[in-house]
Amino acid sequence: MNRIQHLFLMCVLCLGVGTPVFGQDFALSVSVFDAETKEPLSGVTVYITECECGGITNPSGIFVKRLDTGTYELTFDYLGYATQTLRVELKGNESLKIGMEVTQEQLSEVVLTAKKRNQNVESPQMGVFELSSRELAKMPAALGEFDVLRSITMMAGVNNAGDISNGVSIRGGSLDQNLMLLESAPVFNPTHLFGLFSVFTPEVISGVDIYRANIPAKYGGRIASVVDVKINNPYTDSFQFEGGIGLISSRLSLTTPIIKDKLMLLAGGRVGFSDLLFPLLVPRLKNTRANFSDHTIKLLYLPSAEDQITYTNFYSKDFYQLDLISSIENIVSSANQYDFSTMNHTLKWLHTFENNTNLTTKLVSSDYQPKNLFPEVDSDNVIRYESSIQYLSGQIEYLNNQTGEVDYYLGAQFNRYHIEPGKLDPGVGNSINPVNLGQELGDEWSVYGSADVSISPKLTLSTGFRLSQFNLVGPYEEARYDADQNYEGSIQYQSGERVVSYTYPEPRLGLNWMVGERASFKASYARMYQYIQNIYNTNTPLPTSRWKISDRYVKPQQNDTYGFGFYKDFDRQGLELSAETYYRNTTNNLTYKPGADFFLSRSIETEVVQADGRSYGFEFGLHKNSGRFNGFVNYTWARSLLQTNEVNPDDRINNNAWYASDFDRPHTLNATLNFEGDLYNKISFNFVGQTGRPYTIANGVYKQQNVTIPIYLNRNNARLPTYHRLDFSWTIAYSKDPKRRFKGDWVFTIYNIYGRKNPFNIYYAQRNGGVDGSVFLSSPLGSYELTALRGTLVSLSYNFRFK
Amino acid sequence: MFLKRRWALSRAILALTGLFALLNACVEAVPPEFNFEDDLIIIDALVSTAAGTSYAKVQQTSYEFGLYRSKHISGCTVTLINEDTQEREQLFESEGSYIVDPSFRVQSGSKWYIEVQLPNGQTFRSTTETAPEEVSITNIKENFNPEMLYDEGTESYTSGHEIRINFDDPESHRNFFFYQYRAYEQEVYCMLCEYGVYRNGECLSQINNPALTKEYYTYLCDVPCWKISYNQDINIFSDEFTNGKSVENLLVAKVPFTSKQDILVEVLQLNISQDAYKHYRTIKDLVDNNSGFNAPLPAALIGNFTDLSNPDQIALGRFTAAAAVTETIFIRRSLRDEPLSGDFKSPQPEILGDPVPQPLTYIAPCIESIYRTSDLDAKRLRYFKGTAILEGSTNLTNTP
Repeated sequence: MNRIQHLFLMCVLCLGVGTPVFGQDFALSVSVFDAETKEPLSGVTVYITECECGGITNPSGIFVKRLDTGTYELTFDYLGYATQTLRVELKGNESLKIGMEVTQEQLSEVVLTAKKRNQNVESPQMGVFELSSRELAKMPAALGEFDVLRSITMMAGVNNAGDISNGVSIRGGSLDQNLMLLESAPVFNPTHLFGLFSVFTPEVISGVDIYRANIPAKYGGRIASVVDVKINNPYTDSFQFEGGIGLISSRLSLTTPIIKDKLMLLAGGRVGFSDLLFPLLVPRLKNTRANFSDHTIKLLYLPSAEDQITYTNFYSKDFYQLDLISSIENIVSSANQYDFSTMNHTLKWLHTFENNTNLTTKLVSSDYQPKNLFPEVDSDNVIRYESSIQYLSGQIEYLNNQTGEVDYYLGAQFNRYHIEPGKLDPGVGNSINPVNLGQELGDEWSVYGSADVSISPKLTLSTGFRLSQFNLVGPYEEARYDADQNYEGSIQYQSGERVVSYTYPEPRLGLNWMVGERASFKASYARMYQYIQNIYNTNTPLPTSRWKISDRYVKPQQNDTYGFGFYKDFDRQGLELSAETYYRNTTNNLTYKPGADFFLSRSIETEVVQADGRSYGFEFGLHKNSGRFNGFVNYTWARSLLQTNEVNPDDRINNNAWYASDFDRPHTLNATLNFEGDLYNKISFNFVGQTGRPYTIANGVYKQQNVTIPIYLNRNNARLPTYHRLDFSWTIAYSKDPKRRFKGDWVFTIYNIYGRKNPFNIYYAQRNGGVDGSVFLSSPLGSYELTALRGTLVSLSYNFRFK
Repeated sequence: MFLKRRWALSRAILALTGLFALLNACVEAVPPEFNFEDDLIIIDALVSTAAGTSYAKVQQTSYEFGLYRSKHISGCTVTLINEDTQEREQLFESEGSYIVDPSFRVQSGSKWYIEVQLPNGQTFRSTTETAPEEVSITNIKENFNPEMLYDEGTESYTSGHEIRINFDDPESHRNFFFYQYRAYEQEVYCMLCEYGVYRNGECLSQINNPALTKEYYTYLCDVPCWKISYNQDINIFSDEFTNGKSVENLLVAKVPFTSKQDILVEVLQLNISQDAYKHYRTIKDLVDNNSGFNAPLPAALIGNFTDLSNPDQIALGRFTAAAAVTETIFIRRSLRDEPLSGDFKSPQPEILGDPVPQPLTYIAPCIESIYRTSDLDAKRLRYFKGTAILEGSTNLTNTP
């Protein structure tokens, strides 16, 4: 198998490097990007007057043409942007950067409409959202700054565990079934403050792409979706900075050339200190400590007209101690503290050939290190629990989208997962024994290819294929069990020795049948596999929740997604309509056994059950992208169900009957309305409404001494009240003069305008005499509703920009 | 002009922000919901190496007259069986439980299971449990914590005494512990009647008495009477990370500061099996760890009983064989100056002139139950020597 992969890789390399080079003329390379967001602009028309020739920029915003020595007039045209004309004297290889300005009279969304107009109709890709930073910024945020994860929950089929959620659920999948990428590097813990904020530094984000259906073959490893967060390219010839000051966090980013036209830098960071805030809140949070920071640095190096090298570094750090987070058992300590960090590096080399095809090579590393700290009672010693995920990846991909008839890419990828599931370090004390769970090493090899073929003017086919192989390799200690699941002993595998291997084909298919010029039907199918999972038995995982790669007992998760949809653009009104239906069939979904405890467990396979799953739904979207009033309405009807097939009655969930998964939300209605009345004021409203999350209520009670114990027989047998809220955002721009270099905006947001208390959870409590007797009446147990946000949240932040 | 106006507005918003832009969690009482199933059988049984601690409880869920509860099943045949010797020890019914002879205790290393036959003939049998070795408590101490517990209902902290112990964990084998406590304090009064008075053995409502000026009346105990209280949370510990170590300052009990009466706390350390520990840990998750953002999701409480007539049916409850060690600590709460937690009502006897039915009444009986006794043995009583024990009122009559 490895030989085949290597052969393929060689072919890809030969294909790329071996592309012929013509004559002695010179290469003219132009990078075209949005002057404000720095997002590369794909599909910009470039016309060269002298040769009456030209072309369009590729997905990286690059156009390359070989020309003889001479002077040329280049015209750049893109709907929604001001047309630019440039004279170039070509005496040698030349590399240019063109920042295109949004036309002033057309407000922002026109641009996106123009760029994407009909893309939703013409592309065979289904279930995809592409949100730019501009779109993200318009959505009212909880604390005055846009947030990637909160914003994407406005899209159809995207949910979360509630106001506090360490990730998102897409089409009923669990949080770990989404591949969360930041500049191609996976982010294993995407939130700060236990799910209140995304870790992505807001100022540096250029956009986010979300794939939910026929996920492109270049992506693999997770079965529900891909959330690909992209960072601005620092194309600039002047020093610029921007930032914001908010109540919870403050941000600053700068973009500057280091070597003119060769080396440019983008650096952005954010710091949040909440220690002072929490003691002002409810007494329950008085011992809370919560600090976080993140930064993103991106270097862009342009060594030649054909080459673009970027290096991106992302770092995120959190430290907190929360009273609403329960303690870890069996370690005697005065507190439980959480300390976790992510350090990602991405090195990307994009080489563009003269025929405008390109070869991309990526080296990626991601290092996630969660820790628990336990200060000992009456001592200065701190006991430390540490775990880590080290991810290394190499990827090479050749892209040719210049033919018009068949656009294709081919690639190969190698990922290594090195997980240290847990170590307990007693420090200088002598109160506990050190524990080391060893390591898990997994290699994932993939080759892939994808082609979009125009079969006829009305019919486009997108085919993709990914072949993945996953190997769990030694050193590794594997437990063995008898037929009754009793532990029999273990086998020790040596370094490099293969413990278990899985090889799976992953076909992807998309079909687009145009009905007239502005409507189409689409169908899609995708199969995907997942070899790494996050194991937890809570509503939302803790940053320290254990990650586990597949082994002999925890099998890879499999997903087959089928989709069908209808799309129509109403050009005159600027409306886009989409209606998609999907069915997901999954196997080996991970869920926990009753009484499972995952903390430093040596036999975690005995604590989990793998269940079959099925999710299906219908998603309707109506988007209006232009005009003073613009926005969207998304409605989703969906179900997400699980079923175990366990022989042992004690291991069965709901006695092996289908039951609602934690992310089963039958009805979801999301809407955004933007009013962009003038250059100084932008007003937005968001509405979110969805069926309450399933949760579990007791089937009985009994008393043991003085403790009343609830009896649970069936999981997820009730629902929390319907979740709904309305948000408001008002951006006040001050600068009348568009040429003024320093601009400041105030962003005023009201999150949850009408103060809806959306419960995060409802739980039982022991009766305490007559306390709350008028609510609990004669019930043997009390019951409390835990709400993450108490009523309305008003915030004001100041954002500034210097160009 | 317009710019000025907008600036003024922004300042106003900023001020508003300072008042309201707070991120906070909130907990609110809601009517409890159940998906109640009648007639679920739950068996909770324990045998231990300490005399007087073994018991079995057989309960059945019921929903009657709008009340959710579990009621005691009377008339069961409950038998403890030694797997090796086939010795059978019959349990007898007493005050809602099945108990053995007070002198009965099991030996460490002996193997036991229990059979419960309901009056309808349905029979449950537990798996076999081996009584572990006893592990001695080497030290016990208490400290007063003004913020011992957070009370969701009152949104405030409850103060109390935290009991911590030390013990040397044996290295030769894994140990799992379950802690309970039983505390004795002298009752200040034996009856409290809200909007009523104590007559003929019950509180007689005076809610329609327009002349009534006091919200409640209290009645002294007719004999020295001792209140018995128990743990209201689940305390467990595994030597998973401490095998063979000296375990110090392990928090095993939380005694709320609800009265200034001195209190005798008996901590029972039960050394149990790994399976039993897992069972109690699940209970702890259901009872104590269920309130936070990362609360473990509720799980079925799988025990170790089998319904012999329907083995595929999940049987609820657990039989546990334990090695029990008791350690006692006496806390002089009367010396503390801190305010009491909870809703303690000061004594308020009937006095001449009160608009209540005659004759005036001052005392109520100390009715024996698991929560109250007048028969405190000499060993326990010894701890209270030197403290002011309220004299019984047996020489008083209810008629002045």
